[in-house]
Order: sequence, then structure tokens, then C-alpha cells
Amino acid sequence: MKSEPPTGDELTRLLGSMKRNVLERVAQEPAPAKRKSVRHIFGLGLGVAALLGVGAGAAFALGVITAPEQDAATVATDAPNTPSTASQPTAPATSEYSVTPGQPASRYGLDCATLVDPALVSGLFSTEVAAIDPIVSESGVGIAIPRRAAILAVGGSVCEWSNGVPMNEQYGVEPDYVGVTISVVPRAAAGWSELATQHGMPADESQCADTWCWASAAVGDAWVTISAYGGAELATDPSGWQSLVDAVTAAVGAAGPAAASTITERMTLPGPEDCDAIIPVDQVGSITSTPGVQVMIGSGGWSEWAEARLHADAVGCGWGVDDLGQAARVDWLHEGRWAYLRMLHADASTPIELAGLAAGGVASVRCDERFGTTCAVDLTVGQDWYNVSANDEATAIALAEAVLARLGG
Amino acid sequence: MDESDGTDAELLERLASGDQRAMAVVFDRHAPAVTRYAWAIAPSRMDVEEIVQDTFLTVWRKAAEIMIAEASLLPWLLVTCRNFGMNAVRKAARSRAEQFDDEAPQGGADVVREHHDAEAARDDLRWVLDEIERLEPIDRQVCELCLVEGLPYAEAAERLDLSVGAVKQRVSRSRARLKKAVTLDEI
Repeated sequence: MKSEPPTGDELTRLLGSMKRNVLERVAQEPAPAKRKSVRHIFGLGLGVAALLGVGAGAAFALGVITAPEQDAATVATDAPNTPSTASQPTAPATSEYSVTPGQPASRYGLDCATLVDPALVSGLFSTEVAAIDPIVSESGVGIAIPRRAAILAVGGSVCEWSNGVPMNEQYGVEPDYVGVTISVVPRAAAGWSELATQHGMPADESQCADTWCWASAAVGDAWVTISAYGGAELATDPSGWQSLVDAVTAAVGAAGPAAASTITERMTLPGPEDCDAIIPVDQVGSITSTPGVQVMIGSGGWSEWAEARLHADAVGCGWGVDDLGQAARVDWLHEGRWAYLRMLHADASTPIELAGLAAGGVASVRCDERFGTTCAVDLTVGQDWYNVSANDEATAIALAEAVLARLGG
Repeated sequence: MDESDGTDAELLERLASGDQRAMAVVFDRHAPAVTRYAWAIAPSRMDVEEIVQDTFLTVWRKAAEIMIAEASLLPWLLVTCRNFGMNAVRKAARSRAEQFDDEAPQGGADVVREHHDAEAARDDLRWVLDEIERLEPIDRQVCELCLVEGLPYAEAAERLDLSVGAVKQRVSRSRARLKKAVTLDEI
């Protein structure tokens, strides 16, 4: 680029964001998910908008999104794929939102509406923020299963207040995003994972720069993280940030300990044999036309999200020839159909039909032109959510159908 | 270079043995320079983030195979960053070409900037000249051969008559220096 590189706080923020991504992705995301073309995206937005019969952002702001699973499943296979305009960031108009039934209950009994005084959140910014669905917000960027879904799947809590601009930290910080996210991850019955303890996590830290703040703490048996991004909108008042951190810590501490987990918690990373159960490596090589493809086993950094994803047995599998890129990837969220239906409200998917999809099953495809040429097919297998990505849409669909053939629709 | 957390060779060994904390040290040490270089060669800011992150992901995954020429990992990082950057430039060129002509998906090839143009390659290094200037002589030569003349890293190492054995000797010497420094501190 011809412009000069960032310096000072802007560089610090950029480096901090990339560092966090690297430390997490070396373990969990061997290659960034990518999207295809602007023209295609416009088509994507439309399918779901037509499916809902109302702009997802507007529906969300009004708190009317309830999306019964049967309704969504029915329209998802029938919705037309007509061109439309890209969705625009929508400033939230209310502080309430509805969620799709099926989300596991918070094991701490926490409610985002009462977790903290909203004034503590709004006081951080010079622009208006309001409660927003964290699944929808995160799904507005990229093509992966939103990280927060795993936290919710293990009975944790994720609360977000923002200006309506979607952001997914997995893909970097959105410059126009203003908001706060609070995550609460319950400790597994067997304790924090070895990977977490190796990294000295849950860390006890709180720091602010001019444009962002970050805090992490172990509160009883919970791993609490709080992040705030605001660019020029973030008030640089350390006492305000600390007041929010203190309030969240107190609320979580008073709510704990967590109720018993209702899932079988996984404590170790999957191996190649686990991935072969999803799609045999030879079949991946054949479908992707990639000779010598191998299972890519990640290793490296850790985070509260990675911990939740491990506990939820949702680490996923990647395949590639070398470590410079991957030919295919499959992620999943057990009992995650509710999250998939919530993701649809991000207005970034087009319904598709897949060979082998069972009656009542749902499938859609989404791409993100900002990250290259990769697309992902999302589909339900029973009550599970699978996310199958490859370097082009046709290959992703072929892989998804292979998953269906292997696991059943 | 602040070596209080170990030399680059020692950090590489820690990475190769699965020490994730070393990854954070490597990032803190070299990411500013890699980011500035990526800024010069990337088509967009979004590409910069992807290029830098992929570069550091690659150093983690290939730590056991990486050969440091003299003392610094920076030349290898910059070469890897350059490779990712060229991929991003090609993708951007293809994308632009497809927007103009859907019937010619390969049409972007002729608009890809070829980075073996020495003058352009030197210009790409404008934001990291200070870091390169501070490198040991052989590391600087690697930067010249790879980033300006366009040689692959392995070929540059071969031309400089470097071998894995020679690198291991350098690692040993680095450890000896570190041990000596610790002893002096204790005195």
C-alpha cells in the first residue's frame, strides 16, 4: 500500500488484535475462513432476508426474532436466491432481544438484561450502544461457526452491547465497531484443561489502550472475560472500565458456582482418527483434488473460547498438504441447531439443497469476499450443526454431502 | 534486539518443542517489522492482517524445519511474509480482472505486480530498513538475496554455504553467550 503504516496506539491495537488471533488460531484455526465475491454476497443476503420476510437487522432491533425451528427449516429450502442489496450496520433501537429456543440455559442463571447496570456499559462510549444477539453479531463476519456458540453450548453466558456493526474477533477488529462483550465460561468438572493451565489461564489481567480494553479473571469456577472496542468512541476513563469489571466480577461471583454440566465434557484435543470419522482423508483428497492431503492438527495458543470449544467437543478438523493453507475444514457444534438458526439472522446465507439431507434438515451456504475465496456450507445433522468449508463453493457442497453420507442427515 | 527472553534460535527450539509461550515472545519481537513490511506489499489493510497472522502461524508450524542464517529469525519471517503478500496481490489482481471480464478468469495474470523487480522490491523494504540494518551480516545478505533478488530462502542459504550443522553450532554459541551473561549478572 502507498499509505504509511500505522504508528502509536493504532499500531498497538492492530498488533494486539493480530497477536490474540495468532495465539488462538495456531491451535484452533489453521487457516482463516474466506469469502468469494461481492456479487455473490449480495445474493446471499437476500435468501435469508426473503426467508424471514423482513430485514434481519430490523427484526433483531425490534426483538421479534424467535424463528421457530420448524418454520426456519421449511423456508430455508424454498427461499428464492434473488439479488438484493447488502445489509448495512443497523444501530440497535432497543436493549432487548429474543433468542431462538434451544439455547442451553446459563449454568449460573445469568441474564444479560440484569448482569450489569447498562449505564456502566454505555458510559464507556460516546456513542449509543444497546444489547445485541452475540451469535448474530459474530455471524455477520466470516463463515465459521461463531465462537460464542461454544460458550453458550457449555452453559456459559455471552452478553454483548454494540452499535450494531457486526464483529468477529476471529477475523480481526472491525474499525467501525463499538461495543462490549462479556463471556462467562464454566470450569469443567475435571478442571481447566491442561492447555489452559499451560498458558497460565484463566489469566487475571485488565488493561486499556486508547481504543480498546480487555480483562480476564477467574471468578469462582468461572472464567470471565470482558472486551471493549470503540475507536474514537471509547471514553478513556480507567475508572469507568474498572467499575464495569468489578460489577461483572461481583455478579458472576454471586451467581456461582455453576450448576452441573449437562454434556460430556471433552478435555483433550481430537486426533487424526477423530477426523477420519467425519470424512476419511483419502476422500477429502479426492473431493478437493488435493493429492497428499493430511489432517492438520493445530497446536498453540488458548483462550476462553478455545476452552469452551474443547469442553463442547467442537474443536473441528482441517485438512491440507502443507501448513500454508488448507484444502478443507469441518467444524461442528453438537446439539447446535439452535445456534445455526440464530446464525441465519445475520443475513449472510443462501439456502441450498444437499443430497442426503434428511427431512427437516436445513442447509445453506455463505461466503465472505473480504477474506479470499473460501465458502462454507452450514447444515444440520440431526440436532447438530456442521460447518464445511473449502476453497470454492462446489467443493464445499461436495464435502458437505460426503459428511451427510458418512454421518446421516 | 532484546534477548532477555532468549535468542531467536532458542525461541525456535522452544516453538519446535511445543512451548506456546515462546510464540508470544516471537510475535512481540518481530511483528512490528513484519507488519510494516506487509503494509508495503499488501493490496489492502485487511490483507495486512491476514498476511501477518499467516506468517506467524507458519513459523509455529514449521519451527522444527526453519534454518536461521545467522542470529535473527526476521529474514525468514520477511521472506515468508513476502510469499503470502505475493499470493494476496495475485488474488486481488484476479478479483479485479474477474470484475472486468467474467469470461477470462485467468486474465489477472498480466496485472500482477512481479516482485522480482529489484527496484520495486527495495521500495517494498522502505519501512523495515532500520531493522535490516541492525541484522548480522549473513542475515542482511539473506534479506538482499531473497527480498531484493527474489531467491527462495533455501537457495539463499545454499548460496551462503549455510548448513543445518552450521546453524546448530550457532545455536550452541548463542547458548554459551546467554549462560555467560547470566553468570555475569549473578556476580
